[in-house]
Amino acid sequence: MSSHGNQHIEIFSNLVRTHQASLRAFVRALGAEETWVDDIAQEVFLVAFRNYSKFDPAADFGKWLRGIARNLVANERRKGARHTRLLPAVVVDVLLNQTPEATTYEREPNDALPAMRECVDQLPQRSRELLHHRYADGETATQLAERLRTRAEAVRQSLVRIRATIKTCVERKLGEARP
Amino acid sequence: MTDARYEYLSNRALDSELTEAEASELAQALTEDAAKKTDFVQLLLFWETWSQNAAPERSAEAFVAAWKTRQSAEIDSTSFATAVESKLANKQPSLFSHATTSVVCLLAWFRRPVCLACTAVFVAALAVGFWFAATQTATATVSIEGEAVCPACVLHESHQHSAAVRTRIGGAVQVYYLDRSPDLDNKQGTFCSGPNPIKVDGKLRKANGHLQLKAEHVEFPSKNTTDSPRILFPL
Repeated sequence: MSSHGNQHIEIFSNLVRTHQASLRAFVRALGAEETWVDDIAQEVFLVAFRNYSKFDPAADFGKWLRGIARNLVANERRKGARHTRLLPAVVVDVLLNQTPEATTYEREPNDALPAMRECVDQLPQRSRELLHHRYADGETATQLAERLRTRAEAVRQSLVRIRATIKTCVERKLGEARP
Repeated sequence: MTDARYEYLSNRALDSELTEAEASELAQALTEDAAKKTDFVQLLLFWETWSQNAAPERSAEAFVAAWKTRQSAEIDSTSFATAVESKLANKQPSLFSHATTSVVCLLAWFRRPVCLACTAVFVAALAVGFWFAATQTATATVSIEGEAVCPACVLHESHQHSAAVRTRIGGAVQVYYLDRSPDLDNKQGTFCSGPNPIKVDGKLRKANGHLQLKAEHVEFPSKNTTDSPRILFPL
């Protein structure tokens, strides 16, 4: 590859770095399966790189990326392949049909992170460990049940309760922070 | 739908555990209740963001590095394809002109003895060419039992999802890469969720340093039959 090409990739990499977190969250909110979010988001950036000459520098780059992401997910949904990187089609249809405000995706997921950290820190140790194994290690309820020597259904119920606790806590903290 | 039921189903969705009936039930609830839809989107956003920050392999730097790799691979493959197409385009007229020359020579066989030599050289070159081509594409029909794996999801050696068979014999691991086909594309889920037992009959060849297999028959036997993966008819 030419040094000119390398330079282009390096410049574009900075855009990838800046927009990756919110784009990945957006892709997930369009109905991508958790394990395929990064794969789809990378495809969005590959398409964006190929078509960067068509992008108007005065326009909103994040919005352009979200448009590409929406098209990719909609195309994948239309294919209807047995192997899919998306949530069940009926759920994806609902998510694709809604047009959320860009600000929701741009601002809230990242803004919520410090609040989420604080809320998770307040959980009992066993709940924190459960979350760690679920999200840091990517273990399923069945794998977690084996590790904890309990039933998978009990793990699922624990995760439901933990997520509900975190949600209430985060909403309270974000509500307090808003003027 | 009650709040408790919605909470249960939305969590099942987060954990990729929705059944078809549950998915329809959740979709209906989301369609009928805008507040639930907003809540569900928020759930997906929050826990995706949490996952990105909790899993080291999902960090921003890991994501950017993976993107660069894919970008480079795309450029390399495009360059390779262009180079091959260009070579083929350059070769075709040359081959045609040789053939034309030789046909003309054959017609003038008895009248112009110099063409005899020309034709003989062409026929010899053609024979060597056929022999060489046959050597390059040598194949063997094999039957392989092993594990169905995806080079991206399971072997983590690529970002391109595809199908492969991994065998372990006496501690030695060998991977056979399957040629893409619509039938295998439909079965990609089994490779991505691997290792799963698999038996493949097909034609094996060596390509780019890999063992490449063109599958003619693929079976996914039950787990208890693959305790001893083996190549039934090796090269």
